Amino acid sequence: MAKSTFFNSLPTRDRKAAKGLVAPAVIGIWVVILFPLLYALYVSVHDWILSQGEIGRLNFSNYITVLQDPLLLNAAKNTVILTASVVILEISIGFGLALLLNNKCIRLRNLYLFILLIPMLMPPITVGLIWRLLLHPDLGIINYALSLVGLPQPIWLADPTLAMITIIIVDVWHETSFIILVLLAGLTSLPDELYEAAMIDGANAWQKFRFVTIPLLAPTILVATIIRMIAALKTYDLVYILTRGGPGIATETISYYIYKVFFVFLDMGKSSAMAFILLGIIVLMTLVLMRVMRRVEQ
Amino acid sequence: MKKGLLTIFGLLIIMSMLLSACAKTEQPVGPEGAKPFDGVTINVMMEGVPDTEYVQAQLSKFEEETGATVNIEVLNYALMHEKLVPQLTAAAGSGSYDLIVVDNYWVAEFNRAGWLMPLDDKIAASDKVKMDAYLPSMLEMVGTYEGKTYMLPFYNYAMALVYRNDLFTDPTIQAEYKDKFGKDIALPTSIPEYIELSKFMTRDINGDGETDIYGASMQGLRPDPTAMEFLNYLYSMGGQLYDLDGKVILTQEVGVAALDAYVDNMKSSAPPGAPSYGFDEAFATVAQGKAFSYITYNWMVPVLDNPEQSQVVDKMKVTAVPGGIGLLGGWGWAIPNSSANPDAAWAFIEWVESFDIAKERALLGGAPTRADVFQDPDVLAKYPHYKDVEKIVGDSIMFPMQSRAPQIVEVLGRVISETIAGSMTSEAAIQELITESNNLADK
Repeated sequence: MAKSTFFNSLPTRDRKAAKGLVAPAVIGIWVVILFPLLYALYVSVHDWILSQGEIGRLNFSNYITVLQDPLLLNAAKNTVILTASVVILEISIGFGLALLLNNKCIRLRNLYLFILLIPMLMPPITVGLIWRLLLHPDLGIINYALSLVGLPQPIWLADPTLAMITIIIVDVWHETSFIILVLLAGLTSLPDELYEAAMIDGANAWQKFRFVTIPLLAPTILVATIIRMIAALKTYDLVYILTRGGPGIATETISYYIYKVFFVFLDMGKSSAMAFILLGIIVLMTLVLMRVMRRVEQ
Repeated sequence: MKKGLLTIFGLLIIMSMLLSACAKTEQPVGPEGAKPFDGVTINVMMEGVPDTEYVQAQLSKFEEETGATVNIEVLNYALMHEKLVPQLTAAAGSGSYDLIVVDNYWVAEFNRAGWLMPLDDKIAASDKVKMDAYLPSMLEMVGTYEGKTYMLPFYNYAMALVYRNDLFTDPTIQAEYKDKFGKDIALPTSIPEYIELSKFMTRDINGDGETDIYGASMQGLRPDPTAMEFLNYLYSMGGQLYDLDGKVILTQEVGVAALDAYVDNMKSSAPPGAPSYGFDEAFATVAQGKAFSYITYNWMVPVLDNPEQSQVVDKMKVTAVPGGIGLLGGWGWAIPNSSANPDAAWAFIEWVESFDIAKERALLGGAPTRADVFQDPDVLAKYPHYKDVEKIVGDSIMFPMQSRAPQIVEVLGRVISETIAGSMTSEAAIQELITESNNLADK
């Protein structure tokens, strides 16, 4: 197999010119992505507190030390709970809403779609700030509405169990629109012929959904799952705004913990080691999911 | 060949763009009679607090006098440290900020790292800056470090007890207090007395079964809101984290007593959401008239007297933290070594810290750091409580001068929050605090 079909298809002179034109972009990528990544790898095996002077001695045990850190393990547990919850809920709700919106008989469906997409247009920081005010136990509109109908008024962000559930609810509110958009795009691109064939064969609505829609949409669902899973594993902004990891350490996620070790403790070595461990987990999960996706496609 | 040249040309354009982006702001040489800093922009990072707003209101005078443009970037406190540090590590003259304000927590960290410019020579050459005008407690905290001056105190945030005087002097409440405790109601002189008063003041006024007034508005959000609040309890009960030599002196006994008192007050007299409240939520609770008291910055009274922000106008008074000793805080002006315009930055400091401008700021509601401003008749006529505040600033204890203070605050905030949440006992929390304070102490 040729190394590069595009370049090889060009005459020698043009090939050189094309490479020259591409070179700045390639150099740019090396400078802004690969160099920081390699430098972070270098830092991750050194002792270095930023405010205490220059980079210190070589210390491979950074990786072992951080893996024994009970706060990191707690953050890992929280991250798994958060990621699993939001991905399952967002895919389920998003898929349901995408199916509804794919029904051409629904009036004003574009308006509904527009409204449902509004959360996606908002930055997570804004979402966090809005929800923090909405959820204020005494002054927030949510508890006020609950009080009007005589329901109990939870202390959403101050209770250790409820705080994580609240973050999950806010994340689902914010991110489900992305799933709707991706799955709706997938649904609208499904070929009508297969549905017509299924109808001729006497398939009912459930059978069409189970044996036509699901298999055809599976790759799209997997792509949406991978993207959301990677993003959820990196959840930082919502935690930062809503709880700062509290109450106690009930909502501290890996990304938030890494941020603290880096920006507050200024511990370049340990935070880089943690970041590389997180990167490794994300790469591994992505590879597994991609393999599953390939199998589904086959 | 032509295409090769094109590529080189493209690379040159990219390089020139990068270089021009990195170029320093240079002071232009103007014609004779021009203002000293015509065309110079002074970039400053500041926190979004009332004193910053007062400086912004005064800026145009400096800009007119000097020709400089002062560009103030206002940030939330939580974002400042992480944004400042990468800029402070920049090479001399290449940082984004020409002038910064330094919280007292950061003083040792920034100076040990060598990020701030010593100001002694500039002070000696200045006929405007009067160092002996500052309160010694402020100079010690946000002025000098290991014998050299790196900052000029900007404003204080000594913590105090702000309380509802209308409730405190209400005859019905006073009679109820006397019936219950057999003594006249009085301002608390210790933390246990304060907790007792907070519990008493927590009440359902309209009889609907819901609490309308909480005895204490509190902020349990980690790390700094809860850490700062708790330190008032600790200091007032005789505890401290470090001695002046940087040795950990916190004992299990005092630490646990203070933490238990803090958690008790939060659970019995603060709003249910207080464990997750930051400054804004705790302030809103007071401003909406839902709290009797609030251990907060002494300068909150003018803010709470502003009808645009508060429903408790003219109802709040300030006194010392129960026990007389609270947490002293403050900010100082400093020029980072990475400043691209240190001369213009110094000119700004000289101007903003001159007596007239500092007094004007105090009259707007600012928190003074100079004795002459505190004692100025005009200032005292407008804010008579500044006489008490001057004493509070003089008596309060600052956060330990440790280079890893932000990290100590982080640990402190976490163990307090864990104790409130119930995932840690107060004994375990204080033990961890002592251990971590030892680990993080300057060696």
